[in-house]
Amino acid sequence: MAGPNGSGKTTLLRHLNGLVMPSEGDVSISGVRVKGNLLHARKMVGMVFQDADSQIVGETVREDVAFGPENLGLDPATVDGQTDWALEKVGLAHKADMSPHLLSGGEKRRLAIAGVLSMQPEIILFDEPFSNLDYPGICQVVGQMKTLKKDGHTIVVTSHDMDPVIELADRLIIMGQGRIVKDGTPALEGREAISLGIRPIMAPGTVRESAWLL
Amino acid sequence: MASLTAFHYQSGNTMIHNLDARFKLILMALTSITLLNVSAWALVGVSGMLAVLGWHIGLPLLSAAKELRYFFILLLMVFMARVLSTSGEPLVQIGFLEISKQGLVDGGLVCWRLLSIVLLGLVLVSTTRVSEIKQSVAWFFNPVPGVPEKRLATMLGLIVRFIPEIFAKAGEVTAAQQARGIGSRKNPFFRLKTFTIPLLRGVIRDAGNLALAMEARCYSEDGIRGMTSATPRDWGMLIAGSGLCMVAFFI
Repeated sequence: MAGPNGSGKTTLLRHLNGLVMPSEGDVSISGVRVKGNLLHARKMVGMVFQDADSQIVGETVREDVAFGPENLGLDPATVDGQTDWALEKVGLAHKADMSPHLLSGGEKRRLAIAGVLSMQPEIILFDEPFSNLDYPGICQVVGQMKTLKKDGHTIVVTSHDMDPVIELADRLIIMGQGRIVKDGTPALEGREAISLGIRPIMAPGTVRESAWLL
Repeated sequence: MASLTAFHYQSGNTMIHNLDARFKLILMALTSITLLNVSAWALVGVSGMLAVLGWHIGLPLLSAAKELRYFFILLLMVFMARVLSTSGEPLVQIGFLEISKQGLVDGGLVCWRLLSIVLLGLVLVSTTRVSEIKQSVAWFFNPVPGVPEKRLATMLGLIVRFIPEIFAKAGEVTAAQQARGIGSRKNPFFRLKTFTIPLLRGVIRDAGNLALAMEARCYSEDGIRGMTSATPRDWGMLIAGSGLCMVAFFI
């Protein structure tokens, strides 16, 4: 999902997790209404927030990842099992006893992903996952998304910069002023992208043309 | 890469780290009362023991002193107020303002007591996980009728969690203001306003984001786990600590 600031991307994501309730219409996840079934929605849909720092609640990496499964009321052995599995999955098992504050930006984002994965959701929402990340950090997060997609998770990503994820995308939605203005395959030419308020997607060899457009 | 401040939990395996959090809170309350009420000599002894504890757990004292710079300004104000409001044999007189030896001693002692209590708090937060503090608070308030102990514990846990964030944010705001030439503005009220507003805005926004992230991960107050039983070593430390506080009272 792409679109300029204030176009409603984050608000739409929050509806899917039941953090925001619609004033009109209805939101359903796999046929189950979010309203009245919040726990179901949150078990089904995990959300990785834009600012990884502000979602850290644990004093150690392990404790933070275990936060979600503990809230689901799982027994301690299952919590430990799911925590270890999620840490292994994002490659942070060797840092399990470290303070999250000592992790790099990319690692913090992976920690946030592990925190969501440990709850074993089917759908994972990423809100601006590349903001404030350097190139290695972006590569780490994209690598993680590839693995999640391969494992059968549905991934929804909002971003101004679709370059890193466009090759993974099956569908591209452009938002504008709270509405969907384009919904289709992830092919968007430079001029069209700019008119919709997003950065053009750089296919090889199009860099010069896009620079001219800007 | 970021580093841990004195306000973060520092993992370790010292006897203070391993002490039951409920006993730590009781000892902290007892020691704070002691620090506020004992004589100057006993204060030297108790604060000396605190300094040894800080060294034992590896508390980064230099980093703590740097981060406490705003607290030192507050201490200076408290010192000035005590010096100017305590009567005694005048050492210096400027107009109607009088500085006495008793005022200087009294101001110094008050600041020393407050600083020692802050050091005690640092020892607690750097050796105790926020989750342990939350569990302890819920345990203490569980028998009190009409008190939502789990909500209270969560609130306290969040406050402890946010202390390092607030200091980090204060550092960022200060650096940003300095980069924009705040140094040339001499009006302290203007400087305070330009520091406080972005700091509060940032902290409130982060608190909102954290609340949303916790909600998204199915947080509920019922998720606070119970405490494990205290060990004989915990009881031994409680008795020893309380005994030392009693001795300090009678010196």
